[in-house]
Amino acid sequence: MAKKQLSVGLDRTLSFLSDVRQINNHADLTAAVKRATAMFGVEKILAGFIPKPGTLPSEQLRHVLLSDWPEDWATIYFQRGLLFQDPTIRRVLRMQPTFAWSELRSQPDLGKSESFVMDSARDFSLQSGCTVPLLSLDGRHVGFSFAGSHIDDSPEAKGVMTLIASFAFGRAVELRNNELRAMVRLTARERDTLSWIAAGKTDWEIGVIFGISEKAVAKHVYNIRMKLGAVNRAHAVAEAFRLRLIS
Amino acid sequence: MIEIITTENIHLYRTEMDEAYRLRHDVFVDEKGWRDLAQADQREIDQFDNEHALHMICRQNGKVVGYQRMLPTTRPHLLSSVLADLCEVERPVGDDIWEWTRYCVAKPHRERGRALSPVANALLSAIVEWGMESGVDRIIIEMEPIWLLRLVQLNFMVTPLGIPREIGGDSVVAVVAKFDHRTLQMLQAMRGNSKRVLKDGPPLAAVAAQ
Repeated sequence: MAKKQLSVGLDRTLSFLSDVRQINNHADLTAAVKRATAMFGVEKILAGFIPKPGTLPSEQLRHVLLSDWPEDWATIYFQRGLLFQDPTIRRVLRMQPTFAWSELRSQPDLGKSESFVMDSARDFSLQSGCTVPLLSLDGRHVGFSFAGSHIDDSPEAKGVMTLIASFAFGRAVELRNNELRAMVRLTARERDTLSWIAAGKTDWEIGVIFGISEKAVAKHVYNIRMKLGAVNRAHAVAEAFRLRLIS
Repeated sequence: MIEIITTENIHLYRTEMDEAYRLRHDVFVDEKGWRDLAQADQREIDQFDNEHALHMICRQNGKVVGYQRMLPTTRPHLLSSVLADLCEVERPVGDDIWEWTRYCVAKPHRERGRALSPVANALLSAIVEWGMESGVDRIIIEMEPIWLLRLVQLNFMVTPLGIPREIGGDSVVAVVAKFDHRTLQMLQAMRGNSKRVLKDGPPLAAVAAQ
């Protein structure tokens, strides 16, 4: 195959990639994703971590990182726990490649409640769509959906949407971490304590370094853990690195 | 602990390479179903397992439980030959960019739900440590797109070389992944220590500014 010039799809993806590095809020990111995929008929997007069964509606909403989705449908969807009946979610959890919703309709094991979810979506102008399954570093499943009245779901289109979804969600996670970091305020002493823990020092050793008691160090560690929501000090260190609070 | 095997020391690792080829067969032929790689003797070896290949093995209790192979882009490799269709742009070539291939971890040592397993983390860390010591800062990967997000989260800077394509039932995309000390820091933070994973060689000051 002669490689003379970039396909429109790759060209669009690479432009999106360079745009994404400059974007620093979720609204602009959502707009950029829609612009980049408009050529496929994308009108709506929804992206988030898949919540565990039994998660309350308000908590389910906190899993969503990017959205431009029909509000009325979203309200019904989350309030009634339709997420757990949604056949796209089932497919995302199985970590299959990007799929068009039209592929779901031909599934032999499609249940009644699943058909209900899909048919209801059409009432809210989500006639067709594609969902990109992703896997986050912490093991959580991610679904990134693109929808519209007439989506191009050819292999090329799905390929471009897959790439854009991956990079967009990566940036969305980073932005959310930035927001969280802005909300987490560690004192200088707490930051230093964490750096010494990361370097492998015990509380006693850190006490010697700071000229304070071991108990005082333990109190700092406790406060750090509470601020970061960490279960233990290794988790605290990992969170601090992730939020770039220490380096 | 990751050991690097090249044409210079491969004679010392005959048993281990045999185990590695069998692990490759288990994972790529049996598990993934890439039947065109099947060999009668259950050892998956191809034309790129030559004197230019750089193998990395992860051993536990004396057995090879993780493996990956690095190929120089200055010689024939997957993207220059069998997977050339995945690359739409001018193929990147140089001493500072190698191709990462045949990454596999024995089933019992894979991740269970959260994050990367210790073996997976070690293999990825080994690439970065080796790269930083050898003047390599980019790798070419042909991979399933579902893993792209993880690469980005690990602080690799990823650029696609083409659009994902379907190859034998799997979706595959070719990318360039650039790494530096921040990548290593993230991997170290995830495993909770900054110990060197590569056997031998000079100690690495990963936290020192690069």
